[in-house]
Amino acid sequence: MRDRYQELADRGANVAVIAAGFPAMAKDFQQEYRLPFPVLADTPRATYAALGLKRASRLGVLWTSLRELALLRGVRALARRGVGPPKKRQSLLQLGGALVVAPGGKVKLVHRATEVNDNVPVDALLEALR
Amino acid sequence: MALRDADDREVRLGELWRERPAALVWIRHYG
Repeated sequence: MRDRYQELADRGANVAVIAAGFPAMAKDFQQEYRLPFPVLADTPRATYAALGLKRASRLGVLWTSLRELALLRGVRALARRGVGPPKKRQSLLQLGGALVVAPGGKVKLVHRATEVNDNVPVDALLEALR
Repeated sequence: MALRDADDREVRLGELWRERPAALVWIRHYG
């Protein structure tokens, strides 16, 4: 999404990413990935619940990780960065989603992930912003 | 509903689409 942010901005949209956790984590994430849009912290995950975003099963997360070799990448990342304490208020089981809302509040798109790699395509966001 | 931005300022979700469309993405975790 970072790489296609300008396309979204060109359609006049306010763009933001929301994640569970604390504002300091949002700041680190925004800086690490050089995101040109805000990262908002939803510490109690209230918006996740309000949007009906579900949690994956542990088996589903494990299976997807193995299938996509994310586990291997994770091990490599850990080797590069070192092992640290798990970040608070985060859950690997939490699934994501997306929302496009027109001015005034009309919902144009709702995406609720059904598995861990079910991310909304940027093209779908752009289409909803037409 | 209100969230906190990276500078710990309150952001009301409704403000994001009050005058312009909003594209919001909820991620699983920060990584």
